[in-house]
Amino acid sequence: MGTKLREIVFDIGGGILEGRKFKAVQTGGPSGGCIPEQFLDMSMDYESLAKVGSIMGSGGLIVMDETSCMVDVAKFFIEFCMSESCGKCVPCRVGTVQIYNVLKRITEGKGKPTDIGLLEELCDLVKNTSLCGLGQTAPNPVLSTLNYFMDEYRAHIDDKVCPAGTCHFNHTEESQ
Amino acid sequence: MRYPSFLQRIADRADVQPVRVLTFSINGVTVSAREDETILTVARQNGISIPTLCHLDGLSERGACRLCIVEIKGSPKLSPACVTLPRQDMEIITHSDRVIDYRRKILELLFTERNHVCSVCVSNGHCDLQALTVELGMTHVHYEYLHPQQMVDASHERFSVDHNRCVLCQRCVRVCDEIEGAHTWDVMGRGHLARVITDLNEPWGESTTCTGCGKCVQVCPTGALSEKGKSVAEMTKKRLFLPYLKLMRGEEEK
Repeated sequence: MGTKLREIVFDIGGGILEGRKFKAVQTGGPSGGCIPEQFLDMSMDYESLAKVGSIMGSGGLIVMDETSCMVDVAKFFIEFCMSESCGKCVPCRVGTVQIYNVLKRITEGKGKPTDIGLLEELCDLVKNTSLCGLGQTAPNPVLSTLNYFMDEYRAHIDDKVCPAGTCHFNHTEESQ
Repeated sequence: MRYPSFLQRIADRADVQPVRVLTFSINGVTVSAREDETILTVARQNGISIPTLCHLDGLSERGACRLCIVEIKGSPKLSPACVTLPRQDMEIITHSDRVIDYRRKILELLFTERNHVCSVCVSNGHCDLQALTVELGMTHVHYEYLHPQQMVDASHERFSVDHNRCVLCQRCVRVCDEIEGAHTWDVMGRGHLARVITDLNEPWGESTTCTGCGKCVQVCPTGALSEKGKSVAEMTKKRLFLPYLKLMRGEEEK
């Protein structure tokens, strides 16, 4: 508590493997947000994390380097929340599925320019109208990556390119 | 021994239950209500209509459909009116642009979830979901339809369940448990894979607990539960038994 994120990642954790570049750190488990490099000198506490759109949560950290695609990461976490949703309230039960489908479409190179707005709208809906904490925090990884890594979303949708090289688009199908 | 105070003596008496009356405002109009009445009840008493789906008079509350969300001044969160109790001097707004927008979007999500096709539905024209689209002015669904593969169980001799039209409001589950006392219905699975089941996911016709009373069919908001032999738009639901049963059982307990 109160330790700088940079200290945890680079000193205690030993830094990034094979000299690759740091990209983001995801805090608080699947419903936390992804924090980019510019906030690394922030201290690890409840208030600071909330300020940049993340949570303390379980206290776990997932550090990602330049080989991680942030759209794919957001898709991975929302998939977890989608399968963990109990199904009682409508926004969480259906909203998470809708968010997942849009992200899946983007990572497959089939994203549309309107998808960014659609994601923001769905995230806002699920966050504000869900019954319990799972639905209320499930959109966090999507919202924070939209906030800090918009260029990666844009690259997927407009240029059909994955900057990290993890998403594989089927270009032959695209041209048909 | 210290003699208990007057208030303590009142509180200890089982036959006297003092009910506090609260004063608060809904949409700027000052209203008063008993402290054990929900915002939804008070709003309806005062002629304010809040859209609901999982709520049904006579059954326990679920707070699950999120259509009855209202804004409470000073709270960043939206509260479901059906399960929120008012407090003194609370300022409630039931129809702000924000909640109207959210309600419509939630309804759109419901339409994308299963396969709701009014034109071929037994409940066309008598459907709570359909009535909500009119009430909320929902004309389009701008999310992608999920088109799931869902089953139809017509094994019961008089009724059938079409999961394509189910909205998972769990009215059937509650009426079967709370009113009929059979608890034939329940929910299996979670998230978007959740669905209502009879007994331990056995065909309805083979259920050993089902009494065949048909209460579930009558409370179902959509055409998911229907009587056999009804064609398109012919399934009207008779729900008057519910307030009647509640009233008569209440009299019996007195």
